[in-house]
Order: sequence, then C-alpha cells, then structure tokens
Amino acid sequence: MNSTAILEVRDLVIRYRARGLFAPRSRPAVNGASFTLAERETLGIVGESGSGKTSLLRAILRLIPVESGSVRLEGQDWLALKGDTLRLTRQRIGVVAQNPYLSLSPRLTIAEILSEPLLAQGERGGPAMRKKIAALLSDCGLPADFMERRARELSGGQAQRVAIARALALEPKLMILDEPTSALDVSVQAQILNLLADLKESRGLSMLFVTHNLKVVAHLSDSLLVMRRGDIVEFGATEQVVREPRHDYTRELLSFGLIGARE
Amino acid sequence: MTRLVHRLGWPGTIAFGVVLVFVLLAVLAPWIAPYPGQGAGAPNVAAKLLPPSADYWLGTDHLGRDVLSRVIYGARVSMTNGILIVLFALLIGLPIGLAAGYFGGWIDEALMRGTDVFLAFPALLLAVLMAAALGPGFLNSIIAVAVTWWPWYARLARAEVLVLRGQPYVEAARLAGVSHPRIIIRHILPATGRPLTVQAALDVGPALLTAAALSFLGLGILPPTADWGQMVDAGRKFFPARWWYSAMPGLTIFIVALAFSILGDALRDRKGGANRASA
Amino acid sequence: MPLLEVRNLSVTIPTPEGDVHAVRAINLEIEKGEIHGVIGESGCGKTMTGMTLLGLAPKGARIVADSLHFDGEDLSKNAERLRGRRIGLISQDPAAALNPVLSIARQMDDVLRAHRNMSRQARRAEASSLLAATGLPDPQRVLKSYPHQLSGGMQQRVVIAQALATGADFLIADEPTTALDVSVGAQVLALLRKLVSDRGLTVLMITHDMDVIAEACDRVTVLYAGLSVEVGPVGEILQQPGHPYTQALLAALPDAAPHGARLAAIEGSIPPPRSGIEGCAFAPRCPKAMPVCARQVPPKRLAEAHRWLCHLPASAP
Repeated sequence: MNSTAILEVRDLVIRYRARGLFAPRSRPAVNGASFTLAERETLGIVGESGSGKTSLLRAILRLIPVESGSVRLEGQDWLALKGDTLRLTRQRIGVVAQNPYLSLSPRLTIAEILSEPLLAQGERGGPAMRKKIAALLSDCGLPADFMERRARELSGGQAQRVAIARALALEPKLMILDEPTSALDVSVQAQILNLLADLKESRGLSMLFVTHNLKVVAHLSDSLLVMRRGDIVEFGATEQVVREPRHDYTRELLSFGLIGARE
Repeated sequence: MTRLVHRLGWPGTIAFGVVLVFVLLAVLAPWIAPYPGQGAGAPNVAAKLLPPSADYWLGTDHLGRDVLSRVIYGARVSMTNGILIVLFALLIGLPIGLAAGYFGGWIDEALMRGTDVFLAFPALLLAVLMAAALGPGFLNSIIAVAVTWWPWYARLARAEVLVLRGQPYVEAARLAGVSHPRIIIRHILPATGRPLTVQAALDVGPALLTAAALSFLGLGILPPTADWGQMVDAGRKFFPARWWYSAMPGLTIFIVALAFSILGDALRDRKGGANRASA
Repeated sequence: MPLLEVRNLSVTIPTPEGDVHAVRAINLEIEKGEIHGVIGESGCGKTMTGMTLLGLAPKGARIVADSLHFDGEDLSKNAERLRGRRIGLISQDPAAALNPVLSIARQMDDVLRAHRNMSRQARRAEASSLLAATGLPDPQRVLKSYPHQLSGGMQQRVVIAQALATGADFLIADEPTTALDVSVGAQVLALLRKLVSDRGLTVLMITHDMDVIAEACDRVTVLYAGLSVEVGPVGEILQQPGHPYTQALLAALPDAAPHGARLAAIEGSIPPPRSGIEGCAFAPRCPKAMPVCARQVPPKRLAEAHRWLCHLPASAP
C-alpha cells in the first residue's frame, strides 16, 4: 500500500437512531472503522450479518448517514457533498449488488438499463450511445444482441454481467461489490470472479469487495478486513491474514469446509 | 378473446363485456335509445307511468318518458361520473402518495397528516357537505366525491413506494446518479401502476354509487338530464305500485357497480405480464 | 438393505410449453446413520428429489422409479404418511418454517401432541429436553420466546427440535445453512453430526456448497441435469473425483487456485430442462469429451469405494 489512496475511511461511527424518547443509545453498527484502499488494489471486507459490513458499505455509498468520522474519495471529503454535486460525483463509484434479478429493473430492456447512468450524467442517446453500450456488454463477455432483452430472460451469470456493465458505464475508478457472487452457482461464480479480475487489470480499477465468504474474497483481494459486531477485528495483507490470522474468528472462517489447496 | 379469458378468467371477461356494453350505450345513446328525445328529457305526458310493454320495454316515468331511453342516456352521466371521480381522485392522491413515500421525513409527515384529516370524516357525509357547499351540478358533484376519495389513493401509493424505494434496482438507479424526478417517473410510477389500476377499477362502482346517492339527495346533476341516482329518487314516490320507475335504474346501478368490482378483482388476480399494467 | 433406496427416479412436470424433466434418472442409497450429501448446481434436480421423498412433488408431476423405498416401505404410496412421522424436513429458511405469532412452547407442544401420547407435563419436559438436545442454552427461556426473538441459528435449532419431536429418524435438510452465517452454519452442521451419532439419525443433506459437504457429510451423490453422475465417500470424491463434472466443480472453487490466478470456470450451461438428453449430459461442456460421449449413455466406472458414469476408463487421471 505505497501508492495513493483512492478511498480513505477514518474513525467512522454509524449508529442507528433508537426509537422512543428515553430509549438508551444503541450500540453502534460500526464502531470506529479506519482503513485505506490504495489505487488499483482490491480490499475484501468480510463479516456476517450484524457485523456492520453492510452499514459500512451503505455509509460509503451515502445511503445512510454517519455519526462521526470521515470518508475521503480521491482526497475529496466525500461526506460533505450534497444534492446535485453528490449525484454527479457518484459516477466515480460503480456498484454491483448481490442479486442481479433484483438490482436490474424488471421493466426495462438491457439497453435501457445501461443507458440510464449515461443519460443521468447528461450524455445524449442515439447511435453513439448504443455503440458504447455494445462495447460495455462485450467487455463483460456478452453479445450486443442482449440489448433488447430483459433481465429475467437471462441466466444468473449473464444478468450479473449486465449489472457489472452498468457499474462500469461511467468509467469509475472505484468498484464496490456487495456479495456479487453469493447468489450464483459455483461454476458461474468462477466466471464472474475471472471477469472481475480481468476488468480490474484492463481498467485499472480499485475494488471494495464485501462478502460473508472469506474464501471467495481471499482469492482475489490484496488486503482483507474482517468485521465482527461493528469492530474491525483483522486488517492486513491477504497472504498474511490467511497464513497467520490473529483473531480466532478469522481462523474459524478459514477452517470451515474444504481446506484450500493454497500453499 | 381466448387470451382475454386466459388473463382475466370467465367472470372477469363477462364483467369486462358488461362494462364495455355500458360504455357503448353511453357513447351511442342517441342512436340506440328507442326514444332519444325522451332520453334527453322531453316529456310525453300522454304515456304517464305505463308498465313495461312492447312499446316501452322498461315502462315510462311520471312525465311519460321511456325508462329504457332514460337509463341509456343516464349511462352517459353516471358512467362519466364514476370514472371521472376516480380519475380526479387519482390525480390528487397519486402525486401526494408518491412524494410522501419517496421523500419520507417531514414531507411524509406533513402530507400524510393532511391526508388523515380527510379520512377522519365519514366519506358520504363529507361528500354531502362538499356538494351542499359547492351547489348541485355535474362537475361539482364529481369534485365533492373525489375530495373524499383521494386519500385512499395517497395511502396506497405511499405504501407501494415505501416498498419500491428499498428495491435494489431503485437503489442502483440512485447510485448511478439518476435524479429523483427521473427515478420516480421511470422506476416508481410504472410499478405502482398495477395496484393502483386495480384499486381504481374496484372503485368505479362505489364512486358511481356515491354519485348516485348525491343525485338521490338532490345534490347531483339537475333534471331534466337523466341520471340513474336521480331517477331512483324520482321513482321512489311511485314505489311500489309503479315499481319499474325506480327499480330499473336501481338494478342498472347494481349491475354496473358489480361489473366494475368483478373486473377489478380479475385485474388483481390476472395472470402473467407483471409489466403489462405499466406499459 | 439401505434405509433409503431410490433407483432410477424421474420426475416430469407437464407444462403448456412441454414437459419439464426436473429429475431424469437419480439413484440414491442412503445407509442408516450416515449424513449423505446431495450436491449440484441450480437445475440439477436436488430440491425436487427431496420434495418427492417427502411426498411434496407438485400436483400433476409424473413420478416414475424402479424403486422408491424407505425402510422397506414404498414411498410412492406412503410418502405422505411417513412425512412428519419418520421423515422430517429442515428447510433453508427457519423463519418461514415457524409460525411468527405462536410461542415456541406452543409450537413444540402442537407437534408433540400430534405425535406422542403424553401428558401435559411430560410434553413440557420433553419439549425442554429436545431443545436442550439441539444445543440451545436455557431452553426454558426459548420456550417462552417467539420466533422473531431468536437468531437465525437458534430458529434453525428449534426447527430441528421440532423434527425430532415428531419422532422422525430420517431428516431431509435442504440447504439448512445457506441462510445462516458461516460460523453459525458450522455449528448447526456440528449439531446434526452430533444428533446422528447420539440418536442414530440419518440425514439427507441437499446443498450447492462443497464446503458443507466437506464439513458434514459421510458420503455424497453428485447431481447434474437431473442425473446422479457420481457417488461415494466424501474424502475420496474430494481427493479423486471420477466424473469430469465433479472435477470441474471442485476446480472452479476459489480455494482450488493459487491466489489471484484465473479460476477454472465451466463454460456453457446445463441442458435445457425441457429437452431430452442423448449420450452423456455433460458432454457439451466436458473438456475431455470424445465423439462417443454425444451418442451413448456412459457406462458405470468404479474406483475404490466410489462410482460414476463416464466413457473414460477409471484409470484416466
């Protein structure tokens, strides 16, 4: 982690408002998270439900407010942005969600779905945009004639490729992946992980890969961050975390099921 | 036709047919009614209060007008009434519900508390008060009923939006930088279309009944224009001896209201094409 | 004789667009006291197989089998009677399996009253001891709770306790840990192992997750496109998979490749469920396919304790 940081999170605290006037202050969902994601690197964030990983992710995406702390995106105070500035700055982050059938509108064609972010940033429709969409699809391993289809006509893997293409439409430098393979079969998961690795290489992307499956993310991340009950219990280079986990919990996750063939 | 039966089922298809027939009657009244002049209101005192016969299939009223012609002409007013009330109510309720549900927070609080005020009154009472305040007349009676109606659409739209707002594909649009108005129009509105069209179809019947009730109370459309509710009221004085005068328009109201209600149910249960309603 | 014997099971569901071959030819032999895994990807027929054994196949489905026997009884006739008496279901979503408005005590009691001839007090004690047997600390408190007050792992334990309360000795567990966190899932699997050894239960574990197979099962049957293509002891199959599909499935796991290396994805897709299959179902995607594979149904191959269907002889690596 010697290069410049694309995302810098400092002492981030997220707390959901307790209901009722005299309710005690609730335990924070994220209790002071700090980490840095360097350019062209992949950081895996691992945790189970209730670990705070989803809250952390949603706060970074500005979907929920934070109590305190800072998030800097390419050096800029990301939490200070508001209104249209925020909306237009969102193009720097591409997002892929877990279930493509839910994250792609059932009513729109693939072409409409992929043109949406482009139109939102003021690009004009027409043949040039169609060409761009075809190129995006091809980058994600899909033929151009998918444009007129709808998500439900695609297989899970194909639909997830469309979701990745949408995330790439505005050429973001940072990709945030929220359990991108958890809803897919193992053989398809392998295809998607390969695709993500290729895209990272060809487009110089940085990635934040959030998942409950340590083994999946350990495969392609440069560093790993393990969360439990709002705390970061482990943060370090992937090789090191896998070889010498410091926390029992990490050990537990690593020892489940098949013991990897990895050295 | 077979596709219609497949999508709506037999009861729905029949109800759809009934509604269609009444729409046609309303549109083509001057050509279909046996006595167009009487349907429009011209008296024919020579033939006062005759029972149903070959000349007057549904009998005549106290001014000797053919009840069948009056019922057919009444379809123009009553059907328009029912449909316009629902449309007006949608026009007010839908934007309010969309805004309340989508933006949440104080906007939601303000809009929904305002909505609750309207719901606090019994609907018919509110309609009567409104109609009395506005004075009788076609448009006024529609407005009077629509005012009691829209809060339901606001609530329904809001409930739908609350679910949709959290849908990953709506969130994905937000994260792609799509603006709020565009998200509402492109993602939220189409998806609320289906439940709202169902509710609207179900409501045409009751709206028509309420409008008929206002006419019955003399707060709706003024004679000589034919209106089913007002006909029932006028015929009441001659009931039961001259039963056909109020029974025929009454039965018509019943059939049409029932048809809309069955059609609404069929639309709700219809098979396939989730995006059809929004297309 | 195995506790469960399924020979050449097929389940066909007629639809207006043609017959769906949900299960084409599945063989299962499950011995008493084992945890037998059934693994496969979506569309392989694993869930339909489980539902058929429970007598819960969809209405109108055509079920054909050379043998479909549980402990000597013909399941094609008795599945509904055996379900809830000897055969229990642990489903993926425990929250959906429990009634949200009834207390756990009430729900346990309902099951016990239906299946056991016991006094009220005895039922209370039994409910508490069954919950304790599933490793729930403080069963008294759990009994007073409602489902939403329990975590996913605790709910799944209650569901297991309910299955035990029916007196079932054969559990069909359909993705029992998929909705749970990894560490909680591991505990539930450990519990099932413990129940198998303590109470002589037998478990059919339906899953898509090789980790679950490795963690909990004794033997495993691999399904592909509605066919059972390989069966054998878990250790052997994980170490030396015989069928090219099993090999590809294992190779596609992120654990199998060195860090950052490309994963061995399986290209292509499963045969459409409405079409028939000639020769080997996996042939179009198989890296080792030969001309014969597309024409002839593959023969049975044997190596040590496991068997698979393939045209390649067993000696080929």
